[in-house]
Amino acid sequence: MPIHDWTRVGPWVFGSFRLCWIAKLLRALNIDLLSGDIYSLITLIEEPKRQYRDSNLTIYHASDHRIIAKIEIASQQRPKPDRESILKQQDIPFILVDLHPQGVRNPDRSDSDSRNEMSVVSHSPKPIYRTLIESVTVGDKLPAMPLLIESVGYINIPLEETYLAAFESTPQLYRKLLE
Amino acid sequence: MQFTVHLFARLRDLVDSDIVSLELGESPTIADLRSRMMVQYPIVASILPRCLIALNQEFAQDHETITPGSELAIIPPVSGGSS
Repeated sequence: MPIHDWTRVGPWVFGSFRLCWIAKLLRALNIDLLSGDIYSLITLIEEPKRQYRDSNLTIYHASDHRIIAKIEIASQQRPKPDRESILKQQDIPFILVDLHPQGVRNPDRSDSDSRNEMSVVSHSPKPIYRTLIESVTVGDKLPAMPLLIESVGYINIPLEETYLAAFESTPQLYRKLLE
Repeated sequence: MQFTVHLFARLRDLVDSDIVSLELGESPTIADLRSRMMVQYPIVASILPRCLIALNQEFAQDHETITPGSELAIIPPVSGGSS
């Protein structure tokens, strides 16, 4: 099932879906993907300068409970980051999924229409230092995106599977508008 | 040809080094690199097939050719969970 056009419904519908998606990801991480040394919690991500705060996923190392990675599903209120600002965030690996039009622009995809462009970004700081930007649009399948954590390895984040599982919880009324 | 390969996480622990040097033939592929790693470091053989290999900061498939001076990195999967 492809990515839906969430502009067809009110932002509160995506807001509800998004929280469910985060919960599905949390379950997949803690039950299927992470070892006993690593765990994930839903936490608040804040950008005080941009007056933005929202719930997202944080991954911790159990040895000292330090944050080792973040996964963020962008809400519609989230300020749009540009590629440069992402590259400057070199401290912690993260995945950012932005399913709202005009996500992070992929400079390697010149043929796409930036007005409809959404994005999935995976960034890992040095020494791995990789930034993957996958542009997607309505109708695309969510790409498999690895989260690269220098100290523990990579985790393939099951974006498509959890998106589908969360979508099942969307009220039928809205599912009909989206499908 | 001699190639330097960066290792991360569990691979680094198993090999006890974050960089290894591999001797590969002419125009080697990523598959050749995997084979050579298994011969030189058999302790990583069980997880190597599931590792991501980055060639010049892009994830590479087994058929891709490694050119002299290429930056190579091997990143293992996180182990754990119920699956």
